[in-house]
Amino acid sequence: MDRNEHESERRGIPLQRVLTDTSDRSKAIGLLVAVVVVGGFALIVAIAVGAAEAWPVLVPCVIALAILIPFAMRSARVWLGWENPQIYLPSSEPLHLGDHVVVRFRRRARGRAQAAGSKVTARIEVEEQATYQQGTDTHTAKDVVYRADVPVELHDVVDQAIEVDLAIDIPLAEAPPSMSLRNNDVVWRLVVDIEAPDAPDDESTFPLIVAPEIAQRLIDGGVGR
Amino acid sequence: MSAPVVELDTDVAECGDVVSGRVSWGPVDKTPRQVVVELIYETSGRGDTDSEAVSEHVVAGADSGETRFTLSVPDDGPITFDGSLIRVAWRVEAKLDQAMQRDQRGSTAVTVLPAGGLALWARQVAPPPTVGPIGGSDAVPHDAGFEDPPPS
Repeated sequence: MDRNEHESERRGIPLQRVLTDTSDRSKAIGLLVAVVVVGGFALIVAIAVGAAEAWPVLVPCVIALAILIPFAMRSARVWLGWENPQIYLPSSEPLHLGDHVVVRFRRRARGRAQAAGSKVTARIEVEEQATYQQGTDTHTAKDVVYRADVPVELHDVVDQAIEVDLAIDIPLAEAPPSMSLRNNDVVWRLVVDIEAPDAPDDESTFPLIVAPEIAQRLIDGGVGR
Repeated sequence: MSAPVVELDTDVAECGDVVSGRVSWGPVDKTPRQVVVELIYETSGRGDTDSEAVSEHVVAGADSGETRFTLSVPDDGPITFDGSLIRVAWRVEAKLDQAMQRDQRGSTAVTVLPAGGLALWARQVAPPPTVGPIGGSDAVPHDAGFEDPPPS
């Protein structure tokens, strides 16, 4: 259990399952590596052949760097400005159709950046993903078939960390449950956007598993759709 | 030659439940080695097809006959649905396994709901959503919605 989880336990959050989005770090590292590789390749070619004669190689490299560097810098700012975001779920069990669950989102700013004054918005999305072969190529068609905003309630802002509660309503029949087959998938995710006054804006994505099962409260209570 | 006929006790089931019914066949010109009844899901739509027989019931072959079967629906589905890119349909298929000739097959569609769906939709006095038959035309509406229940 890491430092953040210890603090959460102390504050009485029913910690059953934690999801962490580490994509910021992966994206930043990937883009920085790409910049280094492209830039290094261009430099080696320029030294070996001479800049004047290597322009057919250098021009595309410069164009690629002009595109990559701004994205790499932004990704690095996000990675350096924020620790990995986390959500705390009240149960380790999958979600069910018709469920109402409150999860806690937590994100800590790094360095001198402050989380106070941050604005957090969230939504759930359901996406169908269909993979098909066209000759020797593999393509995946995607379509977001359901999207709904999630109410956000501020819980706490302390020690550069902001915590908000997200009240998620899983629809009963508007979208199919999670599905993972070889060529066809239905993916549920929670998307959380954070805008901070002195830290870069960022979007975090957390996968949700929705089982093909109706929430017990609906079966017992007979609530309609 | 007559293809096997599949009749279900009910054409709606839910995940974790069972599908039951009976299969009848005959007379056939060649005695089948065995009669296999399977519960199969199949996807269609934009993606390549995913298909799997999730449970089966096998009986010894005879020139004609009838057998009852009970097939389990997996807890994790998938459920029957008609989406934007993906359609999932279930069927119970009976096959007469005949040597040296094409197997005779017969099938009937079944709707698989999420666990607990039967109780919920039964209380609402409305049939569950259905989709068209596998391989049906694209004219089947994207949102099949509710249909009038068949006359009892």
